[in-house]
Amino acid sequence: MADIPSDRRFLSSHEWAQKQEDCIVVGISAFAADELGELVYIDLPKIGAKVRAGEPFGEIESVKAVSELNSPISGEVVEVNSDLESGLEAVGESPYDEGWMIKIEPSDESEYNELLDNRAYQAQLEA
Amino acid sequence: MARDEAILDGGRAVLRRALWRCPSVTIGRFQAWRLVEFGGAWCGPVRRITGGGAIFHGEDLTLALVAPSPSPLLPDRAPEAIATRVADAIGEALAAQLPGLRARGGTFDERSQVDVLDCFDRATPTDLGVEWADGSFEKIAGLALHRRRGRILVQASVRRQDRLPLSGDRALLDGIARALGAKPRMIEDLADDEEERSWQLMQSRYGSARWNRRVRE
Repeated sequence: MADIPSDRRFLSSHEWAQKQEDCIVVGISAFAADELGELVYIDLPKIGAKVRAGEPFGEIESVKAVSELNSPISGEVVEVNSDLESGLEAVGESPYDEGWMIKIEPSDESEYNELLDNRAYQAQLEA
Repeated sequence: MARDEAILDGGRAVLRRALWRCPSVTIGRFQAWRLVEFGGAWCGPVRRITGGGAIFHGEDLTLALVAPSPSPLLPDRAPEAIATRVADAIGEALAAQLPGLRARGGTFDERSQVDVLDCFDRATPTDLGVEWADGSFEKIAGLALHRRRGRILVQASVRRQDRLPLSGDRALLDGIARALGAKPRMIEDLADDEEERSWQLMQSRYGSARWNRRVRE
């Protein structure tokens, strides 16, 4: 359980969400980053883009595989981690901190409570 | 490309062969458009939703495998494991037709190859090559993947050449299906809903300069 922070919620497709004062931070879990392997490209939305819970907000390429990144929550993108363009290794090395991807101003905060907590996510990984 | 994506959006596990009306070029999802300066009578280029490098189609055998992941067909979720499984299946099918053929992956890491334009000039461990009797290595199959909602699309190109006298596409497809164990459904035609989705994708994506020329200009 130590590897999965308790202050996040998760999608079954391995994206995490963390509540901050005025936004939700989004990234992918350590499990997903490890599984993807060596990352080479990422495509993230622009600030102001609208995202919907469970729908793709971006794409990431590793080992010639493009994987869609799904948004845990609906709302508007208010910040994008532009450091990832030149330092994509942060997603693998620090998936819960420096490897964050976007910040969303949620349009429906109740969606956050519908996400998996760290125990449920851990159980999914062990299933 | 549109047909493969339409199947990805459906629910079937499928192995299919794509046919080309004219020699064509497809480029990887993240490849820079400015690198694509092809001369000659090539159709396209068309940007794929899968990764990897540019592929010149027409003389090759173009394949697509779509399946849930994980599933009996693709038991691992990790892209590297999926690519290796499919490359191994192609290698096994080739070896069944050409006894003595020694297939193996390349030796370069993925990141070092991302700026190499042509897929067949890249040689990473998940690519498939042939080691000839003189010890030289030649890449003969390239793969590219896309993951969406728990399903995987693997597009593969097997290069035909004089030194690989294959007995036919169908025999190779059968061999790949056999090597994968859990046999996918092999199709020539799409279901009606897949055909409709394919048409929509041709209009909105693959026929659009906005998609084909997008990113990393």
